[in-house]
Amino acid sequence: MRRRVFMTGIALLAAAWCGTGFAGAGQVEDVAALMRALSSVGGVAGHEGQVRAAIRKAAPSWASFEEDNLGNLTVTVGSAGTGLLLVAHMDEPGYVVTGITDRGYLKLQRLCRQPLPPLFDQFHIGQPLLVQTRRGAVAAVAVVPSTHLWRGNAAPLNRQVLDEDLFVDIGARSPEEVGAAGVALLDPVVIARRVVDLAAGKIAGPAMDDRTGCAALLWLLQTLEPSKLRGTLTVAFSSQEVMGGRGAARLGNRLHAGDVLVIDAPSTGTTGRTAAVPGGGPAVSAPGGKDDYSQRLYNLAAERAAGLQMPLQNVVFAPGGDQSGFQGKAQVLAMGVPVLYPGTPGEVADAHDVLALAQLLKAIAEAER
Amino acid sequence: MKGRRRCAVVVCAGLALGGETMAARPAREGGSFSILETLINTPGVSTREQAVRDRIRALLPSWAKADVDAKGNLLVATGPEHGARTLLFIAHMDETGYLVKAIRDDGSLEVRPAGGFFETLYEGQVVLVHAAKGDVGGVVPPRPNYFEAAAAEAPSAFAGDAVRVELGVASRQAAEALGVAAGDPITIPKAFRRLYGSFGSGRAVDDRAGCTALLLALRGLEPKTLRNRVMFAFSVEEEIGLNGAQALAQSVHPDLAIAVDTFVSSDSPLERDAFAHAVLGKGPVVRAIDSSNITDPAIIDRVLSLARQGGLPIQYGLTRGGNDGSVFPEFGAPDLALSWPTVHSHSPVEVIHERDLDNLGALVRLIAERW
Repeated sequence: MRRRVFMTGIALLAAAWCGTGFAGAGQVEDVAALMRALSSVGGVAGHEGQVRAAIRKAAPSWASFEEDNLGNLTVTVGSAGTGLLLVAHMDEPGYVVTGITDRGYLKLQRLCRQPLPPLFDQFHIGQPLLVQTRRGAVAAVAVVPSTHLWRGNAAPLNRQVLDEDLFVDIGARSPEEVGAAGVALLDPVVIARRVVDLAAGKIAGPAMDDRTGCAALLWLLQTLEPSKLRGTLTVAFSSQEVMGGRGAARLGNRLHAGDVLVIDAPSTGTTGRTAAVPGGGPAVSAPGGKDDYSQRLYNLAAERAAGLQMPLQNVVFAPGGDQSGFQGKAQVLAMGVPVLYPGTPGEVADAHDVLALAQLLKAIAEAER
Repeated sequence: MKGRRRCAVVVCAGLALGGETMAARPAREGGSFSILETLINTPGVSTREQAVRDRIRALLPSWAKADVDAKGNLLVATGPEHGARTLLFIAHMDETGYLVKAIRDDGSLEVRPAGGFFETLYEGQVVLVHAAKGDVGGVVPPRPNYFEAAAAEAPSAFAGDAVRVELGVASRQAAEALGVAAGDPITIPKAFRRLYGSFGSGRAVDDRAGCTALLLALRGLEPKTLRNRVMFAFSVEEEIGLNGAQALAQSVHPDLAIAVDTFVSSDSPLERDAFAHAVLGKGPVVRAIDSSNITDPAIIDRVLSLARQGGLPIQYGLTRGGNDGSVFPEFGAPDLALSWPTVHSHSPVEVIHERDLDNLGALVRLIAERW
């Protein structure tokens, strides 16, 4: 009941928010461009190099990044007062090459410990893929039965497709040709990137979880006025979140921030949908719960959002993500933007939400904590 | 952004960017893959072939005079008006995809498939609605329970009314304001990709490769040297019932109809090689028997002989599917189907070998000149 009242409230606020033209069209387009750029690169856990490169490219020139041994990228502004750490993860669920057949096809293993839809591997069969080799990306396709040869009998696709069922064709017809193409065991494999603008600022493409978080932090860096900051701000782009928050665990031990905002897509439970909707404003975790989210940070976020006349959507975030790296070490709150159809190549997010989130984070960074 | 009318911004990284596919050779200028890429990247769902027709017109040799019949088939005729024989080569311009059936009150689109394909290949994928005013981006939402274990119990249960397209709007009026209307075609964002070696992949290799082979032959022909009347037809609506070919069969009466279309091959680790086993890269295929036609063995022998005389590799075999030529035998013209071997038919990643396409173009020309 409490949630229903809350949701009704945010619906009204969201309507008013959109109606006031709170976000300038130019700013929304700037954020949309970041979302497109970040969704357009692959970043399997432990292989986030292309995402790191895209972040470095989009960051302001003053940003002096530090990269640690797990590939986390951090930049710190200011040097006094209680530290605020903002963390968004760069990685996405994907595959690595685990075998090469005599006929030159690649075999794969999925690399993700977070819950995925049971059709995740099916979403890749018959689709263009990219093998991200040490020498560059190699075009590939996931082999699929021909409809003509099975018409009237969809048997090959009438049982669950698993990663071990996938054969990947790069155009090589022997292991030697695979090697000559530059492909080696353990190279990461992702779906080829197809990113499409929908209407009203929404964008569909792969890995909006959590490239939307990365886009929000990048916009924050691009527009930051260091003189307005209260205390030290560290912006972190973490690695290996889908493997249990390994990058964040490293950050939790390396950085000693008092307050941590983990920027990620809300959990969808078993339905693939969150209680939040794209276009309804940023999402925030309720205080307390298993992850012991901070009441103080929640109040601060709510207060700043109210000051900006910005709706906030109260949602659940999946346990075991980046927040686990900071529990017991800092005050933690999870925030993000709603992402529709997570785990598909067509994840949908709204650039207005991402911009609003970035503006809210900026307001929090400038607030007395 | 809000309130502005715009064409969909589409980013296809790793699909069309040459720099992304470092293992693949660049397309030869004017080579078969160069033409194929142009045609594949042009959408042409059955009944909506206009853009493909325009591309083909632009790729014809300067001497070719093209006519369009009432059905929309594009025809080029050459050689003596009363030649020794009349040969009709036919390749289809259309491709499988979706058409908008209706716009719902919530702004999402009801769709119907054009042609046969595994509809799960569209589940959770991004698409483009090719509206009159420009492309509009969309996404095919996955089935409602896709995150539940139950979804794995019937993984292929995604078809028919379950398939919708969302545009990011919340009302019918908003969808209409984007320019979307019933009948608009829908495809995935299209981009031909070169694979390692001489392979290429994309949606609608079937039958843009056939169209490419006809264009290659046309570009190589010397009309004045021909002894046969040779007609090249680029047909519509093959995927939804050979409708364009049916119209042609009523108006054109060749001595031999030669369909140039896919040989769906089992040269794949997910297929059984008991039949349809033409190997990619080993040459064009005479599609001797398929679901719609059985070619006279004497005609097959003659093609094989011509190919060998011309130094062209050639394969022949049996596969499934129909071909445009199959509507001609009842009007008196035998049907010969010529092909290249393809795997993953009607998927977003149909694969073809460039040498097969080069040689298919040469075979079409050889038959036009010497039959």
